[in-house]
Amino acid sequence: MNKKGQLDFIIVLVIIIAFVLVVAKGVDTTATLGSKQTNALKAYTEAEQAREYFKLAARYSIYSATSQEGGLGENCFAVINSDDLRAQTKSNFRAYTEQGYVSSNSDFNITTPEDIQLNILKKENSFVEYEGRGDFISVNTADINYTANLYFKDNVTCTQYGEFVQAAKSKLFA
Amino acid sequence: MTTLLPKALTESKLKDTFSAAPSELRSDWKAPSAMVRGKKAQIEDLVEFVFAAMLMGVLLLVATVIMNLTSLPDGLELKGKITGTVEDFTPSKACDYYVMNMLRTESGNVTFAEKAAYVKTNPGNADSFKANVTKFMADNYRRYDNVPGGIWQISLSSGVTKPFLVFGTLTVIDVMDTCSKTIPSLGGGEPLIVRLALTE
Repeated sequence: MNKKGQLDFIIVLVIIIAFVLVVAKGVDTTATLGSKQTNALKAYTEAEQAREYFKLAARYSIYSATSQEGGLGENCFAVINSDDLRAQTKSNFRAYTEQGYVSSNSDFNITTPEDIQLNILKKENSFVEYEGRGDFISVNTADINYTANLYFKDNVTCTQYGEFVQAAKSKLFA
Repeated sequence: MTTLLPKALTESKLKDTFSAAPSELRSDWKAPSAMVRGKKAQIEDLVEFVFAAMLMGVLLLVATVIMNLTSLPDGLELKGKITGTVEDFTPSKACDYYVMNMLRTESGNVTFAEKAAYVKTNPGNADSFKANVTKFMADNYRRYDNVPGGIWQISLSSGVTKPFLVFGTLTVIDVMDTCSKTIPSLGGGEPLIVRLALTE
């Protein structure tokens, strides 16, 4: 290699080394941190709300099924026939599942199961125990795919039913 | 060290001369050893080797850096000082937390979500709902310095219509953060949207 060739080579080499050093040492930058984590948290809360939505819908379905005959007081479910309650509750609940859960947050694409099995587990004179289960609730954004189990179980007590009767029954069935 | 070849007779010249010779004479041609080429040629070889090695090292380093650049997550491409802003530190996380908690909170064994549905069915329940939620927010809503009394507003609406109930301590339009949740209405009608607005 002649001297001119060596000189050219050294110049090129120095430029490459300088570039590599700058890149390796780092360039100050501004970054947004935690956006994926925040989206994951939002997806989680949205799925929770969807589950809560159907749990409340099941409760309202029981209220409506009971309100034709149910009484007030501690034994409000005493006169309710269990089979009628089951059938009427499921019928009422279907209106909610067909409608589905529609999020108020447009950032999410939420899919909820159309077929949710709603069971009346136990009916006593003073309370009704109910349970719902279905396929997964799916919450999707650009970078998050979150799925949650759709399962809930709760009671409707005569105290709660009494509140419903006082607050809304007359208007709901007017 | 003395050389065995004349100065003018370099390796290339030797090669040229030899290639011009008849083929039967060329079969046993070998390059002259380092011993016979002189000190300058040895140094030149050494320098070329070192340059080649350095060049390969640099290329390897560049390739490694480029590969690392493509594998790092967005916004963190380079090493060095990173001035970070945390995504959604003030908005939404706190808002979601409060609105979810509020809707699940029970008053007299009935959740606020149910009470909101009662308001939609029977507006006569609005005052009771407002009083309960206002007490909940006064007792629970904290921001930054853990002092109660933050500014907030809750609105209830159905579909895209104008809210049928709006209340809270927010009086100026300086909303920093809003979030909303959908809850069912009684009788399977159009769902209700509960919106919470927070500000400092």
